[in-house]
Amino acid sequence: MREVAVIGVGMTNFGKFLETPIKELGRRATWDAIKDAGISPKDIQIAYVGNACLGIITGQAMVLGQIILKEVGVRGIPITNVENACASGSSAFREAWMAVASGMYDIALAVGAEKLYAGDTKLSTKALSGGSEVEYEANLGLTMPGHWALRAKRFMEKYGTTKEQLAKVSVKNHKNGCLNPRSQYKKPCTVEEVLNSPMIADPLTLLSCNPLGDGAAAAVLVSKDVAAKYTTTPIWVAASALTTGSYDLDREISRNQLEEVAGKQAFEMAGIGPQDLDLAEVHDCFTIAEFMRVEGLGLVPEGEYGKWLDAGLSEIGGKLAVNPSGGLLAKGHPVGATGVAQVAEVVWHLRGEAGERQVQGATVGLAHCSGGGVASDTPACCVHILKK
Amino acid sequence: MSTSLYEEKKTIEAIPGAYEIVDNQPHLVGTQCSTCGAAFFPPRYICSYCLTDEGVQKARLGNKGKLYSYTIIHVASKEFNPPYAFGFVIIEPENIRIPTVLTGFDLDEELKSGTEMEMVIETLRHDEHGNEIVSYMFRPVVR
Repeated sequence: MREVAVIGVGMTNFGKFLETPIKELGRRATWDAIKDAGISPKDIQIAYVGNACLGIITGQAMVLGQIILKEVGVRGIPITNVENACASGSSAFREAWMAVASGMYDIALAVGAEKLYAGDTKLSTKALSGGSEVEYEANLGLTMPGHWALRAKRFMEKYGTTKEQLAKVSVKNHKNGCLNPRSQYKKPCTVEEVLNSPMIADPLTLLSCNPLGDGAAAAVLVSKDVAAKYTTTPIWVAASALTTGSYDLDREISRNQLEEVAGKQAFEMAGIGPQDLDLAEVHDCFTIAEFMRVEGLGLVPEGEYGKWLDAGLSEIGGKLAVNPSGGLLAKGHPVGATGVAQVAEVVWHLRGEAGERQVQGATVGLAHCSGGGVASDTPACCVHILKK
Repeated sequence: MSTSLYEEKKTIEAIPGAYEIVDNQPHLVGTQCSTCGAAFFPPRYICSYCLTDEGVQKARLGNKGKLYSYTIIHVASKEFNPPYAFGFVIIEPENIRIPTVLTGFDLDEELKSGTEMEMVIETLRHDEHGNEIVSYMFRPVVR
């Protein structure tokens, strides 16, 4: 397996862009990544494009990648569209990484693009329900916030976590979002505001859930030899892991076992431990999700994240900055774009280009996305570790 | 009032074949592996543990269980009418988790984990043609 470097990233602002075509969002992010890498579109040998919701939101259920990439002059090459619910973008990135790591290709492109905002919350909710088994749970009325509310109830019961501690995730991430010019929300919030916002699925309120939004992100991945031609500051993909659930009907739902496995695999592959990380972009689709994931991935000891939040240990400048970008909760979660946007965020920190939210001296970062809810388990978990 | 065939409202099962009614009692219909005893709902025809289809048969599963976790859903797809209670019930004796709408209690009332639940068949919603969509649900056992 060859070493793979990220030499270019791009990302649109995240937000509600009802009038903007998806190909425009995709084009902007991809063109930024191509320019950032200093390559020409004709240099790209293979591309993977992640999306999850467009089939429901606009009806564009097929060939999105080809539609976006023709706008930047990428034609004739293999293009594969990738869907893995919320992990669609990170799965596209992983495919691009495998294409280069395997030695088959030297220059690969990963794109994530999404429109989730429709001016109709019920339609967006329906699109997100596609992350569960539509002919089963979703058909009975279980929504994605519902899945997480059920986990939250078990988690709180098991570890004694309070609603206030859950809310602190949203407060922290909104605070970070204020420092990120690309963030959908740049407005701070308080614990009281989180708890008093409209209820979505008890105990999860509106500000405990990621907002509905649109956006795109892209990354250029290359072999070591190619990296040396274009940059003196490549960011290396130190690990990539992708796992699926067990779907055991008697498992404890306050733990996500597939994340424990993916975390172990990724740290083993990178040859480092959680203590070596400077930042982690973790899939905080809901406040409870950040709890379950930082603990599941092994970044924080089991049952301790509430104390971490109370002590500010996951703030920028703390022991481990968790979601310095603002995370899904503030930066936004255009589902298919998120995984690639997380990679872009980590790359910016490792290059020292993250502006006001910069984690000082960052050399190693982790990006994590998990997608969907099936048989009360999670169908996809994707982890990448990047290093200078 | 004239009634044409086209205006007749139907009753449709939300998950076709999910349950059967025996002696006026609804039961979930799943599968069970005769080798390891694992039960599956919805039915899995290849045992996830023994990895074989041999000895995996349709099985009438329990209609009672204990509440595992639940939530009140306030925002849903347009087909549904929130608020409604949704939860997981662990059915006995199979000890597997079933996602289900919860009924038969006041939403302001708090149900504790472990509350004894029993299965009923009720209207889940109506579709855009006015057809009644029915499903299994669970309600607290009244003592």
